[in-house]
Amino acid sequence: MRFAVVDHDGLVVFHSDGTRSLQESFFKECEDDAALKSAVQELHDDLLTAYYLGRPTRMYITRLIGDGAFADPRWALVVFQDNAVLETLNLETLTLALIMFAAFGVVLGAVSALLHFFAPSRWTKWFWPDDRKGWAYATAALVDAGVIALFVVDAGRLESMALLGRAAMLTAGAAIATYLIVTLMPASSRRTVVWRGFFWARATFLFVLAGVPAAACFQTAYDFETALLVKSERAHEDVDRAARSMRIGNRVVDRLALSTKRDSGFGIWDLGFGIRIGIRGRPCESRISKSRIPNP
Amino acid sequence: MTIRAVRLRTDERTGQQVVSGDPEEWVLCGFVRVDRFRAEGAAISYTYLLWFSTALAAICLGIPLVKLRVLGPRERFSAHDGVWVCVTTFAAAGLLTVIAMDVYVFRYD
Repeated sequence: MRFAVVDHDGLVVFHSDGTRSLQESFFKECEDDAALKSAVQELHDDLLTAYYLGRPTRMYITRLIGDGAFADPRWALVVFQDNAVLETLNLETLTLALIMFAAFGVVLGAVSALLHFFAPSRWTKWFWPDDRKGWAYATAALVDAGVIALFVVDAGRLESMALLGRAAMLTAGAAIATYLIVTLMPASSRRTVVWRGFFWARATFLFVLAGVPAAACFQTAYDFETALLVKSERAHEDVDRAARSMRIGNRVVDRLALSTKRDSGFGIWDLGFGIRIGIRGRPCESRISKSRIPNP
Repeated sequence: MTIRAVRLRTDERTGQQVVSGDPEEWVLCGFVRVDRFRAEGAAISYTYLLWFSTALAAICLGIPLVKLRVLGPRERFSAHDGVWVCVTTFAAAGLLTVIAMDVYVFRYD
């Protein structure tokens, strides 16, 4: 993840890559993308994909608001990331989600096979259209729809592992409840056409058995992959911070050296790590004594 | 071209510039490592890969359902066919859910 502060004309005022600050025209590097120009010049928040340095890049643009003299400099903050990172995240999330869903399918298939071979037939052949069970199908459809609604609510507030457990519990509970409703509810004496009710009962039952676990698997895989990406970004952040401190230190010391070099009684001292400083007379701190660079 | 034992592909652009009355010819060269150039040139976009996988899955999962649809009244529907219809319906429902969530989460412009 990188960022740049861009002024009204597209000049990069500050870039996470220090060598590009005050050097780069962001608009030119983005091939004069019209949507990007519009967002930066009009200073409205936007999320878009544009070519940056020849590569498709996902960008978020927002107005930068500061304090005091910089209360409203009319600069835009652009946070961006190469699309390849997002595409990799997408592919890995899908792969992991489908592997988890396939594992669930194998478990469900094994349970179904065991029931088929060892359980009585009333346990395996119970969800067939019966025109005297219209109420049972309607009730089963409502119960399964309620379970789906409960899962959607839980998906918004639970952590991924808890959501996975909740999905397993809801699926098992809904399957047992549907079985009990369809088999134990008394059949009506009146025969009615039940195709619509039966269709809804079957559709909601299918979604509870397949859709809910699939959604939970996807959410878990997405959270896992996102956490990995964040961890990786943090590892890079430490390196970037150290490099930034070094860069700032070099700049400050170089400026100081330039301003003091004019005076003849000064020497330039090496602080280590490539940092040099100009000081009159002898160095007063022990760490300022690596090597003396003679005055020209 | 090889620089520091690394093979590079070059792209040259020539042009002329007049400096203090004397025309000078300038050559602008761009360099890219040959292995990187080949790798990026031969790379398949993940998006195309995903669309291709989705299409392949749709074909594979659709076959038992198509068979069910075109089954004639005199043709036999075996227990084996029933199992395949169950498996593909289950897989298709799960796959559709995952695709819907993926499109929602990773929607691109």
